Amino acid sequence: MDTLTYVPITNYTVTNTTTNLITWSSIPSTYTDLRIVMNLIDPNYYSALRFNNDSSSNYSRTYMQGTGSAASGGSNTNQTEIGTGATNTGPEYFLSTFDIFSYADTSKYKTVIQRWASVQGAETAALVHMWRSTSAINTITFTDPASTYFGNGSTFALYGIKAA
Amino acid sequence: MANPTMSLISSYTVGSGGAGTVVFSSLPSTYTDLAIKVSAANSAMYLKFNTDTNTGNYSAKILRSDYAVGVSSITNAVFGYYIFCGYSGATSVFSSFDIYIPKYALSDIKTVSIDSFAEGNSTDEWSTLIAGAWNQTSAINQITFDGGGGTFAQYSTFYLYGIKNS
Repeated sequence: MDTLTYVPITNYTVTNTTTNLITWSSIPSTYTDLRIVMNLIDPNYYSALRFNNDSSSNYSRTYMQGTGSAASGGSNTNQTEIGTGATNTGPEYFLSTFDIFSYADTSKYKTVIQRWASVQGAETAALVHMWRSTSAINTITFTDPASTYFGNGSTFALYGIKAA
Repeated sequence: MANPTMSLISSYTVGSGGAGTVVFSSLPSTYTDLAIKVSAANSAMYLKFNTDTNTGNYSAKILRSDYAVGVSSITNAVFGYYIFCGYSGATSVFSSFDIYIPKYALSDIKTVSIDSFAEGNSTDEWSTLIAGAWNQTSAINQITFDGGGGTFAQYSTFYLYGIKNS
C-alpha cells in the first residue's frame, strides 16, 4: 500500500469577529515536513506566526515581492515572529502557504518557505524564514499583534507531509 | 488513521493538433481547496472560472523575472484577459504551472496563487509569482485554461487535484 504523504492534522475556521489568537498544540512529530494553508478574510492589520510560543528575536526572513507596479526584495533579521503579511486596511482576501521543513529535527534550525498572494491591497510574494531553534516544533500560534481580529470566515489548515 | 487529502479529480493531455482551451467542468464541491499542476507549451496561459467572460471580474498582481527587463511587477491589466498565468517567448517551450485555489466552493471572493516557470535556452522566458483574484462569490464549478488565442501544443498536460482539510 502506498504511504499517505499529505495528511490533514487539524484545521480552524474563524466563526466570529473577536478571534485574534489561534493555537495548535501537541503537533505530532511523526511527519517529515508540515504545510499550512491560511486563507484570511479582511485581516485588519498584521498577523504573526510563532513556533513553541517563542516571541524572542529568533526569526529572520528574506523576501521578494511585487505590488503590481514595483518589484522589491530584502531581508529582516532578529524578528520576533513570522509575519503573515497584509499590512493594509480594508477588505482583503489573502492566501498564504507555509512549508515547514524538518520541523521535528532537533539537529538543525527550522526553515520555512512562504508564498503569499493577495490582489486587493497587498502583493504577491515569496519568502524564506528561519527560526533559530533546534527544538522540535510542537506548537504553532497565529496572533494579531495589533490586537485586532481575524476576519469571520478565515481558515487555517495544517497538513503533515511524509517522505516515506 | 488519517484520511488521504490530495486526490486527483481530473486530468487531460492535449492530443495531436493542439487545443485552444482545456476545460474541467462539473467540479465536485466536496473538497476544501484545489491544486492544479500544468505542463503546457504555448506563449501564454490564462484562467477562466465557470462561464464568466467578463474580464473586469479578473485581476492579478505579477512578479516576473526575465532577461529583457530583469525583475519587475505588473498587473493583469497589461494583458486585458482572464487571470494571466505565465509567458514563454517560444510556443514550443513546455512551461510549468503550480496553481492553488483555496475555498473554491464557498461564497467568498476567490484568491489564486500561481507560480509559473518557462525556460527554453533563450532570453525571452519568464519566471512569475502571481496573486490572482476572481471577484465573484459563486462556487467554482468549471475551470478553463485559455491559450489567449494561441494553441496548447500536443502533450501538454493538466492535472486537477482536490484537497480536504479533514
